[in-house]
Amino acid sequence: MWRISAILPKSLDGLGRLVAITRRAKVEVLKMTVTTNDMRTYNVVLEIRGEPDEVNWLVAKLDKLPEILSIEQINIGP
Amino acid sequence: MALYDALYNQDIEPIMFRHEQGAIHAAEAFARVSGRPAVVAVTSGPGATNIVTGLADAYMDSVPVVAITGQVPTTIFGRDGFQETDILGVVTPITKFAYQVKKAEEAVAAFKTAYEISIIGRPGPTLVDIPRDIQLAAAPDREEKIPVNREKFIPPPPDEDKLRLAAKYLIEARRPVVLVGGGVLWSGATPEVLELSRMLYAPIVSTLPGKAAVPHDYPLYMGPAGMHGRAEADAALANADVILAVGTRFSDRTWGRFKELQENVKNGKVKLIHIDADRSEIGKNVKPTIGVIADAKEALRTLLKFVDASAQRDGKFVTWLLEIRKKYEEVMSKIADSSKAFHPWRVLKVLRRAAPRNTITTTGVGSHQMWAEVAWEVYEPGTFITSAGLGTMGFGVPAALGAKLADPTRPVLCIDGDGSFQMTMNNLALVREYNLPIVVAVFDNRALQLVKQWQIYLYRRRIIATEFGKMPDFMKIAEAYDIEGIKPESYDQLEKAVAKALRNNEALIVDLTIDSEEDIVLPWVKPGDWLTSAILPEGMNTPLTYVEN
Ligand SMILES: Cc1ncc(C[n+]2csc(CCOP(=O)(O)OP(=O)(O)O)c2C)c(N)n1
Ligand SMILES: [Mg+2]
Repeated sequence: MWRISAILPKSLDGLGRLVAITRRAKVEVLKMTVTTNDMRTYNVVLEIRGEPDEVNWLVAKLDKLPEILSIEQINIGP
Repeated sequence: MALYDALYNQDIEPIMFRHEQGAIHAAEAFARVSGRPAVVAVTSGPGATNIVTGLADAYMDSVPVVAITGQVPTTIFGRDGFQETDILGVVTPITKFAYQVKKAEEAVAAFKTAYEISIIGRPGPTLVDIPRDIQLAAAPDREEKIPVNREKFIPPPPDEDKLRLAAKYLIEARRPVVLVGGGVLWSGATPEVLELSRMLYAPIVSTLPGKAAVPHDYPLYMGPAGMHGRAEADAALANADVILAVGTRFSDRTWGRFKELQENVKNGKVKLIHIDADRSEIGKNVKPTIGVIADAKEALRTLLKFVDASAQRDGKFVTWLLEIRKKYEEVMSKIADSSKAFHPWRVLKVLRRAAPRNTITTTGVGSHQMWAEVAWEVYEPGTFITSAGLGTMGFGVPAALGAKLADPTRPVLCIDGDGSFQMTMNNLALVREYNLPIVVAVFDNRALQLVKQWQIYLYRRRIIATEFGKMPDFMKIAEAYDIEGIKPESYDQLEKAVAKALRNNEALIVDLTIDSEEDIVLPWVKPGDWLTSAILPEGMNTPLTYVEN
């Protein structure tokens, strides 16, 4: 299991672009939360299951979006 | 309309294409020739959806174009207003950046951001959608920033330790090969690629977009590899023990399939060094032995520092590759001799003789394009412009117009198919309106030949929906647009007419009668096959697997 956490401007357009890429990843999305703390950005947290290569693919593709201000991935065990 | 009204009496000349798709393909070619982003502005709804193919094309081939689309006023969003289309939703997966301006304060910043992002790092298309009320709003004094992370697009300086090791592998290699992708062109790394190849005595192979990055008269250039690549290029890639891949995304069109490469890299038989400006490309399709995220030119310069002495290498591998080339040329020449109609392979040789060295060539998509991949010789970097990743029929004519707009001093030749030509020939209206004299050579086989070829080989000749019945008269089309037309009867006549037009900067449409039955483009690596199983033309039975002795 992996957790991907991304910060992007608080816009559903950006969020839509994030989802569009995630749709094409060969991973299973188990949970997705979108929250805002400062009213300017969204913090998107995805919990996913998949091969490490596929998870890396997803993170690399997401990080190509200019609106992804930062992104992190951590292994949260089986 | 408000946007265009604002351009009234300004120092900007709009170029009116006859279809938005034409405008965006022209913008792609303009950007590729000028090295700068090109802008396309279209109306909302159908205007916006008409550029979608071009955006996808630019995304696949990493071309910097900026689209500005009109949009219904924000007040009627979601109410299915006249010509309302959620263009942002449509282009989301095929743009590097897309932004809908929702406040007047953002408009200028959004455009600047879109422009900048289109060209920073690996280029790509961007789009700014501007609703009507925003267009009509008074220009604010304040500019609101668009929050984006630009830094991530700037490739880091190359990792010296990795490149030192890469140099060691390349020097020790028995059969090193350099694979050049389109990234080399954008980075301007052609001189470095050539120098490295010379120092290492390593053959160069390219992808289809990379074809434009290597002068074909460089003796160690083997041509493009892959589905419709050259046999010696397929052989070089398949038999290399160290591959230096630069600015390429490991497309299935270049490799056929990845299994052999993946296995050989994994078990150490092949060492793969992959340099790319885009982090997400490293390891996407094949995990390299060494992956370097960097600008191609910078990385190759660093690499050259470590490849100081010329490598000692026996020339047998290169000699073997050059023999494959010679054999192919001999066999093709014989095949072309036996053809009563024009043969595409020979047509390209003749056109090349007729065209000055600096001619910019564009193509449509189909067999004629694949013949051009195999047989067209590029001499100056950037002078071969084709739709590689998306394979967009109709690309050729508007791209030729865009190239001519970008550099009116160069001759421009479009190598087109009769199917591709009919998709965007409406844009020929611009030839006279804006004085854009291009030469279009239509490979007239009265068929969607490339698909027909697949039907012949893969579907046991069950030919359906690939042969045209009644054809328009291309000479009359030429006449309608006030362009000279010619249907040559000999290679000699063809050469003279095209040479004259290109040298004298005159527009010309050439209708080349080609026998569809003879128009089988080989070599061909069938989809999903490995490079060494390329089908070769009749009379050529050279194995593509190298045996060391
Ligand atoms: C817009 C578009 N539609 C369909 C295809 C699929 N396709 C690939 S090649 C080809 C035939 C192209 O015909 P033509 O332009 O006459 O070239 P030829 O193969 O005959 O040389 C087709 C239909 C495509 N690449 N692009
Ligand atoms: Mg055709």
